[in-house]
Amino acid sequence: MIKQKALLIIKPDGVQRGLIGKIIKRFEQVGLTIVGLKFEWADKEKIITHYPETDAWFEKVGQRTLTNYAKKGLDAKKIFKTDNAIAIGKTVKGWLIDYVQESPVLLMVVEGYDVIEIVRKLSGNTIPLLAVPGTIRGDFSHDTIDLANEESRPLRNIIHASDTVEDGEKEVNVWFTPQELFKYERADEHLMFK
Amino acid sequence: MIEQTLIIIKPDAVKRGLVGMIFESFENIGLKLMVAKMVRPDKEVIKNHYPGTPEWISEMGNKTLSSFKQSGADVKKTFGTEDPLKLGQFVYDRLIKYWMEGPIIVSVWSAPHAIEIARKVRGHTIPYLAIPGTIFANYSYDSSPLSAGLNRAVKTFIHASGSRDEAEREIKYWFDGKTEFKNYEREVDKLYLK
Repeated sequence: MIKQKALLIIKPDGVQRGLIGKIIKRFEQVGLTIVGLKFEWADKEKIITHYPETDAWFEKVGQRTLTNYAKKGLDAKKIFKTDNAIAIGKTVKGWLIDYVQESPVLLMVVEGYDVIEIVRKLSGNTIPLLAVPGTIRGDFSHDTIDLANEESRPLRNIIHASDTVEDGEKEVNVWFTPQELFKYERADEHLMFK
Repeated sequence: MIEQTLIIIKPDAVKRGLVGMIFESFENIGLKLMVAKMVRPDKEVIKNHYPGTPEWISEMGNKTLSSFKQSGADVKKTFGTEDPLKLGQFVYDRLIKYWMEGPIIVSVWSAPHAIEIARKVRGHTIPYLAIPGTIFANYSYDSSPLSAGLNRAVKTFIHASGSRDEAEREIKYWFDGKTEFKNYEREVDKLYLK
């Protein structure tokens, strides 16, 4: 089995609430290796590349928003000036781009076996209200899609964690140069996997 | 009143997975992270982090003399000299070697009295002499005699600037001449800074 890398971003709500250390700790505790780390204002171009830019993705996000609005009896057309799913998806991406730029963010590359599964598990459901206790989102937030939609703002869910091995690779390359990534052995590694 | 201080997490702390805990300790107090990066600098870069003047080297020698005295160990037996300058040079060389054991995390933190507070929470430079409750006391037993007997530097796994002048010089040194970082709001700002 080979080790894989995942990208984590502690977003402005996590940063501004002073949760960086607590969150890093959770990934260190399970034995993942931090192979890259920086704290800086995110570059807008990089955020744009980070999130998918395909019509399929815009449509998925837009459709989800439309469905949620309809359920809540909110008029999507009034807020978005359109009921086209792709156009709405683009607006939502705009919200995300603004959200990630509200403060500096902590960018971190972690490495380990089955790393994607581990970072998804520790982060919890992307909707904090649905995330179970013990997960980062479950323990540190209770934001919901409904609430976010009602206020025409992005869902604040503290952390981004790569979704798949392919996404992990792509995202690490968006945010980190090879010179910013390191190789070393954790002090307890030989005890964990011997 | 607001100061900036440079904090460096050294290789042993990174390998032990103490990054989150250290960040958390500073964040909980209200210190605001301004910038951070993981790096693996070469020998020259580490060497020049320190002033490196004969006075400074002698001072390091004197510090070693006094911590040996406090621990009741014989300096001459270990190093073959009691001359502060020679002793200081020994320590300097070992220090550089220690810093090169793995990647480090360099960061800048901002808060009222940040320099003094970071030093206080970290504790005495020699973990063995640090008082309980400080990070050094809680996470290490390393001492001058122990490290000298093993031909290595005392593993002082957190560097924290000692004065305003030192902080300014060090921040400039590690962040390409920059000393000002764009501010953002932390949750405590409204409570304590207004």
